[in-house]
Amino acid sequence: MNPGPTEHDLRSIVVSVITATAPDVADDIATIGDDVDLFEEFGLDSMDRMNIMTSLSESTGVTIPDEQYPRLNTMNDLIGHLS
Amino acid sequence: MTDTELFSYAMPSLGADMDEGAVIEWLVEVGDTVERGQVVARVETEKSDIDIETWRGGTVAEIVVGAGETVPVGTVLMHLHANGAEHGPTPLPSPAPTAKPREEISFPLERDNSSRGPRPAPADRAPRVPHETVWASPLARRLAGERGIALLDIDGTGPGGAIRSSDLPELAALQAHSDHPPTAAHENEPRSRTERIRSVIAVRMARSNAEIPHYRLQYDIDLGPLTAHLSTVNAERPIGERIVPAAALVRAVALTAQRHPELNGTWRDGRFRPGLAVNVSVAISLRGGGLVTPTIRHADDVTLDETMRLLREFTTVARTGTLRSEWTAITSSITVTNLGDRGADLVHGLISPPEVALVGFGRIAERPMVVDGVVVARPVVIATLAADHRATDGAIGSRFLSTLANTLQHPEQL
Repeated sequence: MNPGPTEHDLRSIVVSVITATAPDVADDIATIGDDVDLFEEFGLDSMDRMNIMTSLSESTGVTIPDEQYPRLNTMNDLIGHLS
Repeated sequence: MTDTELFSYAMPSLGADMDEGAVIEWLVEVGDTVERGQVVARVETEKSDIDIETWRGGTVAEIVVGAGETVPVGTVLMHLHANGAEHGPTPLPSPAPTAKPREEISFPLERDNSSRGPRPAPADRAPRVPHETVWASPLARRLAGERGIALLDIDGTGPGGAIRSSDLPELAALQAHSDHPPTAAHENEPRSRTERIRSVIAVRMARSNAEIPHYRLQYDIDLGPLTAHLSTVNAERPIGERIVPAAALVRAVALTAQRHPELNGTWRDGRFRPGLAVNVSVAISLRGGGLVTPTIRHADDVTLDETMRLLREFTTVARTGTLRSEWTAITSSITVTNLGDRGADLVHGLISPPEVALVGFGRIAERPMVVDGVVVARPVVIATLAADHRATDGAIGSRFLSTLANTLQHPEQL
């Protein structure tokens, strides 16, 4: 494993990116379970997904291939991919 | 334009439904120099909060309507000195009919076509035109919708013959005991954004369902070529410039609408009026309920990349609660609703009046399709068309969907 951001850092990044994309979920995202489908739970659509993936990639420098999008749905999925 | 020209900036119409708006906040003050296109105030409408821009540059001479006040569309909000001329007690001229910004195409809809230009004060308006152009306060409209009262049958007592809630016959008794003017009393009740949006949707959809004889068609469209094309294109692009299928679907509808003008326009005063442009409204659902429908102006002339950029912006901005006037102040000619990648298989929607067609897309999913005599799994979207039978018949709608499907088989041309 390359040294990089900790899981805690990545979680913060994911939370801030999703909150920036969808300010209306700010209150709920802090308490959501790690295996809950964030897109389903928050009613995020494909545009939101694209906005979120773009921001995550820009914030972390990690590439997220197009075909991975549908597989990255939970906090665990996202942190796992970005780690 | 002379140095002494004063012009009036009036509450714009920011959508077909808007009759009045509340100034939430002024972003300029007397003495400020403003440029054409500058956002000068934030306005609350039934649907959303909207930043409004001035279409003339100059110096703010007077702010007429203060923050917190609700006024009908067309009410003068402020006066500007064009070219920074000195303020003087010059009597105000009539609003300049030539002050029309950017948009060159005007739609012949009385309540919309002056949305980006000054319009006369309500008292000076031409007498009310019957049918689709009934003027009514949002409350009157809402209550009439809830009670099934036809606004056409009512003589309004408001400005320019506008119907007020107190003009509704069934409400007279309810309102008799009120100490305050009933309209003001009801409309001043604070309502959440969701409630406001809900009530607009309630009225519009009740009207759609009551007035429009819908016919509905559906078409399974093979998106194999599109998804393959987007994969190739996106692989070469930085993540921020990638395209999602939803943008291609909107773009394809715009191109299809251009080729089928019978479905691109509005039904008013008993006849179909073709849209002078393809202005595609996109339904964006909001978390917690409700939706907003920002419009892509001249969507057939907007590239796929630009369509994608606009849709991303719509989605983000819609969630923050403030749309831009440039997205709402134009008459849309057709609407697209897309259930997204996790929605239902298909949507049988209701047309957004006064339009005559609504195109719906369900979830894109792998479904069995027969290709060259063999059943294969293909990414398929079920496209639906809800169309106004007063304006067209099923054959035209069917050709529309066929063109749409065909357009999506050539994604490189989008």
